[in-house]
Parts: sequence; C-alpha cells; structure tokens
Amino acid sequence: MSDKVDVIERKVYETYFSVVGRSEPIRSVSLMTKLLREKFRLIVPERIVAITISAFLSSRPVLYEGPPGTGKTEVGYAILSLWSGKNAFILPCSENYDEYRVIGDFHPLMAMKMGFTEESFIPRPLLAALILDTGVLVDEIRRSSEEFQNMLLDIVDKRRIVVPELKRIFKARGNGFQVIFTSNPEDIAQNELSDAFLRRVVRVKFTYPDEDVEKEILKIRLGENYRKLSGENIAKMIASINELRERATHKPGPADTVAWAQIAVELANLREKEKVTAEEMYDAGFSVLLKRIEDEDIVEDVLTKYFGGKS
Amino acid sequence: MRIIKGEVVFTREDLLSFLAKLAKDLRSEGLTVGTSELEVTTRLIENYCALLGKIRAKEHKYTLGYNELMDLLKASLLKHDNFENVFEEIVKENLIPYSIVKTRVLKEIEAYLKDLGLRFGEKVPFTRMKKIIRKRSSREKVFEILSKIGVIVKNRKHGFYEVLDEKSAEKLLSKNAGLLRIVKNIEELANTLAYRKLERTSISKIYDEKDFYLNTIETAITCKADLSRISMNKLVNLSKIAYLKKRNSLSRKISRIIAERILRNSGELKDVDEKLLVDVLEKTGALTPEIIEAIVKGKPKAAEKLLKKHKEVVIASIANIGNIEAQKTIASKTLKLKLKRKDIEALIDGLKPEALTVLEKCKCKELSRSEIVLVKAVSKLAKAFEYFRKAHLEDNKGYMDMAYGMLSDYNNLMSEYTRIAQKNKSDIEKKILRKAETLNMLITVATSNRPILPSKIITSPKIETLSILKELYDASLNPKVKEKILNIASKVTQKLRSRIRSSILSRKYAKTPLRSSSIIVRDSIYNFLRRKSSPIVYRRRRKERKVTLLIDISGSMRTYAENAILLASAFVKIVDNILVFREYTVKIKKSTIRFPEKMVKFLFNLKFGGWTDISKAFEEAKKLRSKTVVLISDLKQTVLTEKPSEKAKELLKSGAKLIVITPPVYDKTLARELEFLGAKVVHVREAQDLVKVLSFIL
Repeated sequence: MSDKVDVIERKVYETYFSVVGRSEPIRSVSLMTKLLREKFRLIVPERIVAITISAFLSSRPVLYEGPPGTGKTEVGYAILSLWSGKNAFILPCSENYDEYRVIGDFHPLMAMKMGFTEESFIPRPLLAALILDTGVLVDEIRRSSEEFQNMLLDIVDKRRIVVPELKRIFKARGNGFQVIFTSNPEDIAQNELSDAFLRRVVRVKFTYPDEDVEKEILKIRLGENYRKLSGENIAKMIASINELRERATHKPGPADTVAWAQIAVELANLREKEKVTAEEMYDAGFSVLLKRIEDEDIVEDVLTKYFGGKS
Repeated sequence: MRIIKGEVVFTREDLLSFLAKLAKDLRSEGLTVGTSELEVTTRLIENYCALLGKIRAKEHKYTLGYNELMDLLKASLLKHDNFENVFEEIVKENLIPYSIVKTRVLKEIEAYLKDLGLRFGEKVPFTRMKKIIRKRSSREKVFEILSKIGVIVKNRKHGFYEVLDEKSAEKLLSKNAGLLRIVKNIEELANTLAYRKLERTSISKIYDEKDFYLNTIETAITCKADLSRISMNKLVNLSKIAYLKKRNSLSRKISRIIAERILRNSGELKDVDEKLLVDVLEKTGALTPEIIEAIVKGKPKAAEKLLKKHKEVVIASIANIGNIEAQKTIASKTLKLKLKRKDIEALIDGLKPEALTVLEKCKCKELSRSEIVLVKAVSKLAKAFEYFRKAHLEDNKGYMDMAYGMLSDYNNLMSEYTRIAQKNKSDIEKKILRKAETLNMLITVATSNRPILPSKIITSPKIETLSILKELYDASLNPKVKEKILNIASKVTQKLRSRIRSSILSRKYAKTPLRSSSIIVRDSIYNFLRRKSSPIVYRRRRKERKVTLLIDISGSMRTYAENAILLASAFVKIVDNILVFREYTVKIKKSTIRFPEKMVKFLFNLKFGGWTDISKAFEEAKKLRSKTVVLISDLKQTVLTEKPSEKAKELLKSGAKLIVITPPVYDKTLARELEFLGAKVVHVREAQDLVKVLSFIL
C-alpha cells in the first residue's frame, strides 16, 4: 500500500512541487494584510482578510462575489498562498470542466495497455493541492456545471478525494488545503449556484473601491510611473470611471483603471513626453474602456467630457 | 446582546440564543437556515473575534462593531442577494429591539424640548416662540429639528405652535419604527422625515410652508440624498419658490437637478406645466441647447414658449419627436414666425414625411419659385396620404375622394415644378424630393392591389419600419394587400433579427461539431475496455440558461411590447418562454417566434389595451420554473386581485431572478416594493433602448 501512495505522490511532487514553492504560512490578519500590500501590491480591507481566515479556521470554503475587475481572483490567490505558505493553484472553470480535469485522468494509451492503474494515472491540480497541502482558487465557479460544484463541495467538506478506479482515498494532511471560489452574480449569462452550494460556503462581497482606495491602488500598481500622472488627470480618470460604472453596460473595475493608467504612461513614453497629457488619457481610455459596441457613444462622451476629445 | 457605543457586546451564550432566535425569524420569512449553518456562524464569529483580538478576556465577552457583525451574519447566513433587505431588517429587529430605540429617541426629544424651555403637550403662540428662538442661536436648529420630526406642529388657524403630548409623540415614532433603527442620530431622523413629507405633500401645501420645504430640499441636496422620488412638477415649483424667496443659489441648484433629470429622461416632463418649467430654467440660466432639445422631445407643448428665443434649437430638435401630431403642432407654430432659408431646410429635414402637411403654411420669402412649388406639392402629397389612411381606417369614401383630389393637385404642381425647375437642384429640393418618394411609396402600398414596397425599407429597415408596415396593414382593406404586407414585414423582421443578433451577440449558438478535443477520454477508454460498439463519448454542450419574458400589452405599453417581442425573437434560443399579458396571460408558442411570418402575423394582430394583471403573469411565470424572469411593464396593476408584490415574493423565493424593465412613466410604489424584495428594476427611456437592456440580460 505504501508503495502505491508513493507512485502518485512522486508524480505530484515531480510535476507540481517546483511551481508551488515554499514559505512561512501566515496566520495573523494584520501581517497578512501587510504582506498583501507589500508583496502582492493588493489593498484588501482587513475585514475581508479576517472573514476569510475565520472561515478557513471554521473549515468552510469561501465564496468571493462581486463585479468583474474588483480583484477577487488576485486577492483569493494571494490569501491562499500566504495562508498555506505555498503558491495556490487556480482552476479557471468552464462549463465542461469535470472531475478528470481537476482530480486526475488516465493516460489513454497507458490505460489501454495497463488498465486503470497508478502508472496510467495523471494527477491534476486539485489532487496535487490536497497532497501538497496548499490552497485552490476555483475561478468563476458559476461557469461550471452543477455536478462539478457538488463534487467540489464533497471534497472540501470531507477534505478527502476518492479515486474509485484506483480504490484509493487521499486525505488532506494539514490546514493548508483551503478553497476559495469566485463568482460574478451580475453576469447572468451563467449558471446559478445551487442552494446546497451556497449553504456550505461563507460569502464575501467585493464592491468597487471608493475614490481614495482606487487612487491608492493606482499608486502601488504603477510604482514609479505614478509620478507621470498629474493629480488632475488622476482625479478626472477616477471621475470618468465612476461615471462609466453608472452609465455603461460594461462597468470598468479597478483593474481597468490600472490598465488605463499603465497604457497612458506607455503611450506618453512612446511619444517622448515627460508627463501623461489629456491626449494619451483619451487614446488609452478609448482602447481600454470600450468593451461593448453599444457603449461606444457613452465612452466617447465621458472621455470627451473629462479629457476634451481627440486632439 | 448589548449595544454599547456602537459596539455589540456579547458572551457565547448570548450569541447562541441570538442566532437561534434569528434563525427562527428568518425561517418564518421563508429564508432557510439549517442548524449546521448556525454552528458555522458561531465558529466564524468566534474565530473572527479571536483573530482580531475582539475579546474582553476578563469578562469572557466578545465585542464587535455593528457593521462587522452584520457582514459576518450575511457571509454565512444570507444565500441570495435578493433577500438582503429582508435579512437586514430581521437582524436589526433581533439586535436592537424597537422598544429600546424608541425610548432613547423619546428621551432625546424631551431633552431638546427642555433646551427650548418647553414640555410635551404645550401650546406656544407664534410671538413667544419667536422670542424663545431668538434667545440663543443654537435654539433655531433645535426648533427646526423638532418641527421636521413633527413634534412641534404649526397651527396657522389659531396662531400657535403645538407641542405633541407624549403619547402622540410615541405614536409618531411607532409609525416610523423601521426608520428609527437606520438613522444615526436625531438630526438624520428629522431630515429623513421632512424629506419623506416633502415626497408626499401636495404642491399647494408646499406654497403654505415655503421655508420649511425649501430648508428640507436644501438639506437633502447638501446630504446628496436620492431625489428621484420627488416628482418633476414639485421640483419645478420648489425652484420657482426659491427664486421668489430670493434664495437664488438654491433655485439654481434645484434647476440643475431638473436639467439633469430632463436629460436622463425627458418623459418625466409629461405632467409639468410647460410655462413654469421654461420660466424657471430660463431665470436660473439652465436652458442650454441640450436641455431645450430634451424638453421639446419630452414636452412638445413647451416648444411654443421656447420658439421666441431659441428658434434654431427647437427646429433642430423636431426630428427627435416621435409623435407625428406633436411634430405638426410645433412645425405649424414655427412656420408662423419669420423664417430664414436655412430654418426651412432644417425643418424639412426634421419632419417625418407624414407631417409634411404643415408645409402648406410656409411663407418664406427666401425660397426660389421652384422651391415654393415643390414645398406646396409635397404638402398636398402628405395630405393625400393622410386622407387615404383616414378613408381606410374609418371606411369613409368621402376621404377617398378628397385624397384623390389632393393627388391630382400634387400632380399638377409637380408638372409645374418640372417645367420651371433648374438643372442643379438645391439642397431643399433634394430633401423634399426624397421625402416625396417615401410618401409616394407609402401611398402605393396603402392603395394598390399589388403593393411594391420601397426597396429602402427592405434593404435597410429600422424597428420603426415595422410600425409603419403595421399601420399600413391596419389601413388596407384588401386581403391580398394585407398578405403582401405581411410577407414584406416578415422579410423586414428577418433582417432586423439577424442584424440585432449579429451586432449584439458575441456568443455563437450554432451547434458545435463533434471534435476530437471534446472526446471524454476516460469514458471512451472505459467503453473500449468493455468492447462497446460505439465507444467514443463526446462532451455535450450544456443547454443555455432559462429565461422567461413577461410582456405587458396594455395600451400604454404598445411600442415597448412590440419591440420587446421582436427583440426576444432574435434571441429565440435563449428565451425559453414569452408570455404576453393584460387581464389574461398568453404564452407565445416557440414556433410562432421562431418563424418570422408567424411572428409578424401574431404581432400585427395583437390587441393592445384592456386591464393589467401582473399578479397572474407572475403566477404563470413561476409555473414555468425559469431561472430568470424578465418583466417588461409599466407596473400599473389595474385588476384588483392579490398584490403583485406577494406573487413576486413567491417567484423570488422559488429561486428565480426577477428583472423588471419599465418605460419612463411607471408605478413607482410597486417598483420600490419589487426592488425591496430583490428584483432588479431597470428604466428605459425609449422603446429602442430595449435593445441595449435586453441584449445585456439575454
């Protein structure tokens, strides 16, 4: 039996260990908030960190809900990595995701030759995370099927994975194996989450940050480049982003604000300008903020209002 | 659980009994909470307190901010955002019992009265009250707060202020039980109550107590309160009162709000007195060209008042007016003025072909002779079209004769025009000829047995094209013509549909072919090992989400409903059910919306009007078990059955998501109720805007 364990574990270590890395697990809320800011350049309210860690301590997975671009995935990944002291795995969901893609699959040719054995088995991220005792971020859970969600819940609940073909049960070895789901409830072109699923998770809401926080995000994300933006341009930028959040079909998140600023700075560099001018703000804004064709007039209107149109 | 200075202090036992009581109340409201969830919540709160050091070690007590506790409870017990408001209410009731809040507020009121040297139940003459207030500057504010709450009531008839007795004050607070828990302090309570009073009160009462209401709106504007519930008419009157009272800055502020609202939704101007509106906006300098354009669109009557000073902007705005009669009214008033050549050109450009009848009054001296003849000719043609329509609609042969009379006038004028016209046509001539062409085609369709529709209609149709075709369909009596129009309309529908779909839909709904990448390897191997005859297993595409559309077909919803059905037909693969309703509910068959011919037939024969029963529509929608229900309605329930909000609650409880799309004029009370229950309410300005909203939802 111990030899069998070794085969799978060996495969997991060979494939994933170099990706996972190792550092000291963090259990303090204030330290984690500080590291999130310094190491991951993320501004996360202490309350969100505290609720997430409390949920981990209560053996409950966490569901991050909020509009796109509010940093759910990045925050989730960073918290999981800090919590377990190892880089977390990210599972980006799609509607045809199933257990074979996340737990493990059998190599077709080897399976034909040897049947369903440890040798023909290929471990996938979820099983690897369980064995390596690290976190898993299940991104956009609402894109997956209900069966997939239920399968995940069973694993998270009981902290073990069953592979019937191998007649094996893998159990979590420590506290590092935690799961965070992300979802955007406003995107109604996706599946709904079942009541059973919602009963088992702790929900944390993400919203658009207020002006000061958004400025702070820009500051730490842009680093040195922040100086190239004048205070006036930043204020106008945030005002226009807020207006678009009210008027446009595609609502820009802080990620879009950062991308806008970054591209504007790069444009200014290309045009050999010392500071970003309204022209760069307009050009960059138009390419970053226009995501849906029906928003074209609104985006143009807002950019013209704040940055005076294309010169 | 005790609240001390905004912090909730509790022991483990307190927390457990609080959660048990909360769960009971939540369950009674239909929100399911299991015992295991209570256990998790307890652990979550304890861990949270431990992590952040929110424990008073000596007393074995936890301390948590009110908002923090609410967040934690929501995180573990609230499963659908739909019920967030209900959830918060129940938590508040459990956390801060109403009786405690009431006693606290009552004591504060007593202290305020003491500050003024008054007692409950006292009557104070106006003059004495003035003296009391003058004594100390802070007293004015105290007096204002108490009047706003309604503890001090002005008795104009007998000339005194009346302080409510304690029982009446208590009653007053009981009426606003929900509010007491939300507000931070007594000042906020006063402002909110005054603001609510302003929402409810009639305009004549506002004139009775001008200062009180002006102060109220000023505070509301300063606090950035949501002013959307105050009607436009009230705002216009308030701005006027502020101007008369020489509070110019306030008047300007209100006008700015009015202007913003007009720009957002000019339909709100329906019940506003146009003279007052223009007067107020002019005096406060808020009459910009965009505002004028919006006013003309939303309130064509106001155009007359605006014409004197802003002629050019009004003429340019005519094109935005949907109603032909309104276009005609404004145009005929414009033509009475002294117009230049460019004004006439802009006017012709903006008018719909059917509205060109008004041009017979055109007396511009700057036009050339040939232009004058052409202007007259086209007005005759438009008149002919009007008579033809009347003849068909009213089945009156007299109109038919008049129509032919007009047509012969038109032909005579046109032959005169060809005689005198020069080779190079002016812009005005070109524009008139283009409109005449459209009119000619419309007349041909309406009158002939074999209508040939303009190629333009079929090659580049708009949503309005369908309305024109529908009018023609209604107008024509010959069944063959009707059939022909239906045929053309179905082609138009097909075109519109594919255009809408291709411009909006980024997703592809075509069936994916069976590809090797979608083979489920593991299952296929299983089958191979079992030697099954067809071992390869492919991944199947999931069915799209279920959406039910509920479309109100009462009279006022006509254009919206037509557009919605057409749009829905473009999304036939995602929309599972389309239900149209008035006092009864009809489910449109899938085959009807799938085939353009059937859909157009259905659309053209749809009878708008009658009573509206939203409750029944919700009931039917619930039976269909869709995940999303989209209601397109003005929310005016005219059938007296069960309240629509009750049915909506049941629908939402079944797990469905409810999205309500309303035109500019709608029942705000029901909209608020639905919003409170968790429905998403979206307002659209124009029927055409439905494209955006629906495409986003579908």
